[in-house]
Amino acid sequence: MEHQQLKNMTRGIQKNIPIDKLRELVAKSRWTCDSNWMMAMVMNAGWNVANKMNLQVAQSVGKVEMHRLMKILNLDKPKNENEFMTLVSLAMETFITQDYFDYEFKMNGSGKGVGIIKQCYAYTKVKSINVDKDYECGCFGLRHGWYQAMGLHVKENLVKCLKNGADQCEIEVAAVAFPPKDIS
Amino acid sequence: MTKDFNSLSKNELKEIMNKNWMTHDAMWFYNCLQEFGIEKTNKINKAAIRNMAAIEIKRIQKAVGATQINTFDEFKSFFDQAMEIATGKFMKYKYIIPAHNLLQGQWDSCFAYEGMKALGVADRYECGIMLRIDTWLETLGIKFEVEPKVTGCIMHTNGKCFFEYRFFFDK
Repeated sequence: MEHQQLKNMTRGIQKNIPIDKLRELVAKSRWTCDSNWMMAMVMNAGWNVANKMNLQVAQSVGKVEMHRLMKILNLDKPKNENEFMTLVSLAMETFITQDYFDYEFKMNGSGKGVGIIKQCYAYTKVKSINVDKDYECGCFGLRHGWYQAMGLHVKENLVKCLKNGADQCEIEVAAVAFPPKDIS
Repeated sequence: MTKDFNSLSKNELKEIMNKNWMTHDAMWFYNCLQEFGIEKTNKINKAAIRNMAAIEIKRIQKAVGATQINTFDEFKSFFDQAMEIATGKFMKYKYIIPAHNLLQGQWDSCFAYEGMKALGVADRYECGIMLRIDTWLETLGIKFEVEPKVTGCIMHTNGKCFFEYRFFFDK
């Protein structure tokens, strides 16, 4: 069989991979790559440096990926809670592995809300190798990058944390300052 | 809100996912470089690639329902699928199968090299791109030889990058 024929045939086979499965596959590979970098850094530089670097990396990537997501969907920076929630939810559903993550996010209508994480892939992983007390959560950096791309200043407050023995993480999201409405 | 998420095509989604992944990887590389310099960063980068690629290729095998690869045709089919899933158009590579047991790959430009140039370390960067492929093959238990054998970056020394993989399938 000629190579081009073979390529066409395999592309045909690939069409049978559901889009969700393909997304999950690439997302898992990305986070596997991330955890390998993290642990290599821990081995070479210790937890303090690795944790600090993890936050910096997550923030830089978060900003870039949110810009890309807004561009590909032709979305503007959010001007209200609904648009903010939509973008955060889109990013969660697109970039995070769904198999290892269980969350919900609620806004209360006054610029405040709470993110509830019942299952977290990072916590599951660090717990499994008994380093959960050493690990500092990188998700704050990732979301900070998302907010930067949205042009928003968002304050987060960790109320409950799986790492501290709670049954879920609860992160209060406050002070989402949207640009003023154009009343001209 | 002008475009519905569900209207994204599979390829659009795959492209953004792969781009974000490579950006994520590059950010680790950059931060590691700032902390430790290029020698140690090369070492850590390659260790991360080896570990990641071994897991990655097994996941792809499972996702496409591939079984043990016994013939070159089976390998070609699986390799095409793996490349389709795990790479993006922005990587700008091409490869051909000119003969039985032979695969030639070529890059006229390379996103990793461009990144290293931007960081000012292209002359000391040790290629991680081909290591990913090599690790796939090793994980799959496929015997191969590759030429040229490189530790640095051919794009930097030659202006373009070329690899030839030779396999040893009976059929």
